[in-house]
Amino acid sequence: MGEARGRVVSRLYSCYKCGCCVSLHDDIVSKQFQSSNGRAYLFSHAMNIKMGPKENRQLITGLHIVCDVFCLDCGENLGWKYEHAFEPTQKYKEGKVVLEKYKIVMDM
Amino acid sequence: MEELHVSGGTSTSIMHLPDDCLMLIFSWLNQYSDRESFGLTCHRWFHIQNISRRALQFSCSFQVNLTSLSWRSGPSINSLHLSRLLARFQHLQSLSLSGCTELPDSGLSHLQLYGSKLRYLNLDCCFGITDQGLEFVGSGCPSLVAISFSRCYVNDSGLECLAKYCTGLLEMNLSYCSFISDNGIRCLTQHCRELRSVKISHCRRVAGSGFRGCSPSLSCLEADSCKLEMEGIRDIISGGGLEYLNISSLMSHIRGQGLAQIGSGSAAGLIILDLRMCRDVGDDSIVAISRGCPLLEEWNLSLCHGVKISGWESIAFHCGNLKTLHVNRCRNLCDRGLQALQQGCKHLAVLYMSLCCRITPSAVELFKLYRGDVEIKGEEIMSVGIPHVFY
Repeated sequence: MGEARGRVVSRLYSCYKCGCCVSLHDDIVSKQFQSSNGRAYLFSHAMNIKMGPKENRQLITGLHIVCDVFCLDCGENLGWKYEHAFEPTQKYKEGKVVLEKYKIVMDM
Repeated sequence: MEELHVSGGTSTSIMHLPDDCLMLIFSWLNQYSDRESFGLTCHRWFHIQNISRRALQFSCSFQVNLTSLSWRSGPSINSLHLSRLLARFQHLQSLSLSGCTELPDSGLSHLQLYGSKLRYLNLDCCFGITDQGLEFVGSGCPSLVAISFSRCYVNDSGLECLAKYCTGLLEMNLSYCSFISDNGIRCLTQHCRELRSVKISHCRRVAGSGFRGCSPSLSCLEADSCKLEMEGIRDIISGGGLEYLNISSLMSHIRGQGLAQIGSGSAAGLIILDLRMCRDVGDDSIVAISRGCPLLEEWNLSLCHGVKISGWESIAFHCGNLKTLHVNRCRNLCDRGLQALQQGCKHLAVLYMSLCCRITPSAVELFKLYRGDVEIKGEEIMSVGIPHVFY
């Protein structure tokens, strides 16, 4: 995890297809999310991603406005980003990104 | 048909011409309707039309769209159709069954009777074909020169059979055959010593070691999206005759370390190298390759974020024959790197460059000023043109 010199470097998550790093372990808000294909993590921030068009989507927790996120390099669909939540209890998700667990791999 | 009066009183007509004269006449007919009319004249002329046919393909070959294979415009080709067609056209040299998704292995068994003259066979997307089918192909078509069975469900055993029987193979396409491993590839390279071109794209189980000891005739290899190992890359170039190499989208954990071996000397004849999306290729590999492959004419380094200043300077200094360079979306191509390329690569003709976030517009303008001979293009080429005979 860290380098031999003792500096602690954050764990990175990368796109499983091309290895482009997309998020840090420190940015995980929740590991309990579900996508159609399995487990997913909620990140407060993700990098090297591009957003798709916004759309209304009915998720397990209710209606949200989300946009799909894609890897910047290879274009693989990695998850989605919450743009707006209609229910007040789901407001904390706005602006955060969900990445599917099987689409990302942990790097050093 | 005229009746000519020859001395002796006998009359001759076109029906007295021998078959090979009629075949010559048939070969000059260049309208499909004329050829059909020729064949409808009588049984003998029908026979001549049939034995003159050299190539056969079906409409489903041109509509292979993987998302809509369930919709077909005509009847699907099955075993009975194929047996009657092969019995009718017995001198076929080229047969394309691509897109015939319903064809079973038993359909290919007819090749054992009628396939002896077949040289080119295309079985792409024949989802019903398995190792048994390849065994039929091997035993029935010994003079096969090029075969393609992309996306078929075949294993190493089918490939071994094919390689043992068809030793004169020059080209093979086995992309997306995920069950093929290095054992099958080894059989192929051991038995087919004249093999020129192999495409193993997306064959996940091939690590490259099957190519060890391949003959120097292997000049073209497409191994993109494979999980190649370090020893595998060394084995791939071990033949010594490689001229075109595509290892883009390297999906393995070697992280670009083994690629320096390409410059070790065995691949000194390399002309085209595609490293697109090998994001971990480092400067030491680039330096080794640019030194070891002096004849390189086209190099695709799109999305190779690991190439930094010393890499670009090495390319500029050593790649004297480079004509085309792809640097789309390289995150570590900065103004200094572009300046190095501007001062080197004397024969550069085309530079594919787009979305390089560290390049400033003034650097691009400076490049255009000093190197007016270089055409800068913005498109990102997904697959570099690698010449093939067949597909």
